[in-house]
Amino acid sequence: MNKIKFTIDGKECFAEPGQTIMEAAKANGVYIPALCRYEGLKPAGSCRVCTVRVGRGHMAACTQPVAEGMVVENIVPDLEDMRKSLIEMLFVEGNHLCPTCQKSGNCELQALAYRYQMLVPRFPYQFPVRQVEPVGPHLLLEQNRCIQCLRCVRGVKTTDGKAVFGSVKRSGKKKIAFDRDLAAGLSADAAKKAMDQCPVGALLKKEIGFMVPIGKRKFDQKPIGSEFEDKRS
Amino acid sequence: MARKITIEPVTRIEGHGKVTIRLDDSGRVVQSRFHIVEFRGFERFVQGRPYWEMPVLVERLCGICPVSHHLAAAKAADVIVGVGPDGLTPTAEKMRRLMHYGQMFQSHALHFFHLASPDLLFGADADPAIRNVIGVALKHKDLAVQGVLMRKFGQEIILATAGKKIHGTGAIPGGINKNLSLEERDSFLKAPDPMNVDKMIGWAQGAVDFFKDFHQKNKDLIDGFAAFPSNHLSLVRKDGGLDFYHGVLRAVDADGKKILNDVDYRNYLDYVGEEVKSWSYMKFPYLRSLGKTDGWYRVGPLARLNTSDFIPTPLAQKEFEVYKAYTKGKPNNMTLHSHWARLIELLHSGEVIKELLLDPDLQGEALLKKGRKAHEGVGLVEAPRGTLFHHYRINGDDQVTMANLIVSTTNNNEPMNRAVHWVAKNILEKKPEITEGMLNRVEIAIRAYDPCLSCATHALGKMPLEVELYDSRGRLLDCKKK
Amino acid sequence: MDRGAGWFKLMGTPKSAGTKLLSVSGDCARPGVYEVAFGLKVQDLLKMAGGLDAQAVQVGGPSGTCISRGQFERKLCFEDLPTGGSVIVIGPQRDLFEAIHNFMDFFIEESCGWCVPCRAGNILLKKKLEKITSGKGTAKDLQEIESWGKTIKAMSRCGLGQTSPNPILTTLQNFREMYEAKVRNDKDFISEFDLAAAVKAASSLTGQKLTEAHHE
Repeated sequence: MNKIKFTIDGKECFAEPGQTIMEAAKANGVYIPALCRYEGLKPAGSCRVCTVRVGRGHMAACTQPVAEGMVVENIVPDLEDMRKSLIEMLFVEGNHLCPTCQKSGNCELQALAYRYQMLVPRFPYQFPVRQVEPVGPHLLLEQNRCIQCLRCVRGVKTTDGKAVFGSVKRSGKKKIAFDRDLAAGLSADAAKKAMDQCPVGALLKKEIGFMVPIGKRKFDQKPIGSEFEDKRS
Repeated sequence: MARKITIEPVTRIEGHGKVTIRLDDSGRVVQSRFHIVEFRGFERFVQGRPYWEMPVLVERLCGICPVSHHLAAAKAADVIVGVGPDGLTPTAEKMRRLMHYGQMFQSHALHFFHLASPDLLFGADADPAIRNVIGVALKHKDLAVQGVLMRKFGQEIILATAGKKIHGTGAIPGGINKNLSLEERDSFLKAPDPMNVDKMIGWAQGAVDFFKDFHQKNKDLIDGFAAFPSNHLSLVRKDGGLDFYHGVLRAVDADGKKILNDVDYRNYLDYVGEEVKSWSYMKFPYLRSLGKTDGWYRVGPLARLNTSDFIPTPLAQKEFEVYKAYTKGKPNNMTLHSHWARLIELLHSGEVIKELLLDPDLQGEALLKKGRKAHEGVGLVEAPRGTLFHHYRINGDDQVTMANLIVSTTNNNEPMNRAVHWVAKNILEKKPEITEGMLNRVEIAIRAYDPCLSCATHALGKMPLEVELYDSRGRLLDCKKK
Repeated sequence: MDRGAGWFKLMGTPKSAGTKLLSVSGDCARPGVYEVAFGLKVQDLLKMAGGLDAQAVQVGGPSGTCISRGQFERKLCFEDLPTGGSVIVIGPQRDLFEAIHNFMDFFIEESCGWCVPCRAGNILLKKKLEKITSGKGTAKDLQEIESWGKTIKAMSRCGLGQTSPNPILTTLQNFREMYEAKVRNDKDFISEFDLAAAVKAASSLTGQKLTEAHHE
């Protein structure tokens, strides 16, 4: 067996050749916080929440392959605080009003904010003016809550494999756009899948909001990362 | 010497308001106004939002009776998804009712015990330092504890039905998102004293008895204070019974003649108009058939017991009969009788909660229904403070394009102004000195309506309480701040 | 080329052999492209280009290092002041904050927006800088802007975000007194919240004037 040996926060781990730090961490039962990553989609490395430190270098665990003898730092105070500040940047960059959002309790951004015990972001709110856009007959795109994770760009395809969503503009003006004709063909099931893929409340399948009662939502009982971590700090 | 008296803020009400009273050189009242100086803008910013967000979004209008807004919006959304207003599954409707009556219970308990009782227990002229809920807690410990625990009981009912005590998510377009587990049910039915429904009903009965006793000893005050004839409006059950969750619109005049009867509330615009006045952010609704001048009406407990023919639970019905006998079956137009009516409703709510808890429909599995989509929906409920109207229109993409909310306190706008005017005329006019106790009577008159101003509008800032004394040329002579 | 590597290595420093083409621009008498041996002191370059009165020199472009007069003895080489070739002379008449602000505008414009720290962070950094230059900053703002800058450098995906906070971070290090002079030391906190501006829309909609009473 040609397993690669490396460590995460001192814990000895083994990886298959070609595995990313994220994949290997998962296989070794180690949680690395992440946001844009989605099982089955090609990693984008856009949120940077999974950034780990190897030596003096910082790298995204979802895109960086493991190398023999790597000493990876993951849950360490300064790194965790920088991850927290990325979450806070996302909160102030858009308009994230959890109390009235139907994704509340199922939202990964919110779940990470809880994990990091975010009270008030350290950054000033930007209050951008953004719109809600209908996407075909079954979906709404709530631009106020979009965090540019690109999961929909990577994951929402028509039955013949065409990408429905794309990314336009740059810098702070970057936003998700979509092909109207392709969007018109999205089925109700595809819309539900798109909503489930979206980590936040930006893609909404119509008419199913708030159907899951408080207490039964994804993160109500099990905080994000708790599948790996017995005790949370 | 002409004077302008300002009471700002009005205390022990929900939200911010102020009163101004102008007196002329001889001390006569020339003008009195109850201003709502807050502005909120919900009707504007819900535009563009998906309609299924409405029950969860608009309930943020208020932290005291969010359930009312939650349910009124949900009822409007029921119409949009094609099942309203009578098409819900029994489980859905009864869960919503339980939520609503739980809220009526907590809100009425809060108002009577925390906000209104200090005036009754200590008198209008008592030192303001003790004339508050802390004073009640010190001098009348039992009452204060009951007030706190009754409110808590109602809040727990809301938690079990909406998922949260404040701003929950239970009602969704076309139904409800949960039923009541047997465990939840038993926590209300079988919990040790005092947190069970039987004890709550007992305490509510005690509160009614307390008021009746107080009334016997203070008839002049309770009967005479700020009494004036008016029309009355509320929902009533099809058969004329008292119902807070659903029904048809009925309005009666001061003598009991029916102005509206059996009106489908979805056509409310045909019957109710709204007038805007420059000095208040609150609109003035009126019954179209009577016009702007005469069409104003009261809503809330006093109005409901005037429009309803009976109360469909036994203990409250017994009290209702006593209450009605006092006015010989005619409508009751005495402002402070609102407290009496409110307590009878508190008792009724307790009884309804018990009935519902014993109903196996609450454990049903059929929670949702869907029908033919509509692009407009109206939903009404009887909120603690009175009739609450929600009206939405949506576009083809399910986004709200128009929202109109007439909240209970708005309905009571003119009556509150009348009550203030009554106090100005009868208590303040031609008095050499204006005392704090006199000013408190202005607040007592407003407080009887349990106004919730945060709900009707919204504050732009913090307001001090001040009394200003002007000469006849409008020059400020004296100013006192509290 | 025909004199060989040995000859070439005679010039420069041990780790930066040979010569370097430098593009000198800004507030100097003789801007242009200079070929110099590695290890040249900034001072000597300024002498050649006619910019000895500079208050600051930006070495290595916007993402490089901004040095102050006291550091003009430093050498242009990989061991000390590395540069891709850009040297910008900033004369005494300039407002250095304006130059820093321009650099931040440049990075915000150039950010592709792919990753969070560069997309959102640089905008926040610039706003913080504006808070400080407008006289509304406190000592805490200086700590925060430094900490935010380090986060952006560490967490960004590519070289742009990994260096975009440098105009702020290097001036914060080399021109500390300039920042200190801008912040208020008599206060721990200055609110950026402007009530009148925040309720402007609502006030105009309702015809209400915001009176003093509302501010109390």
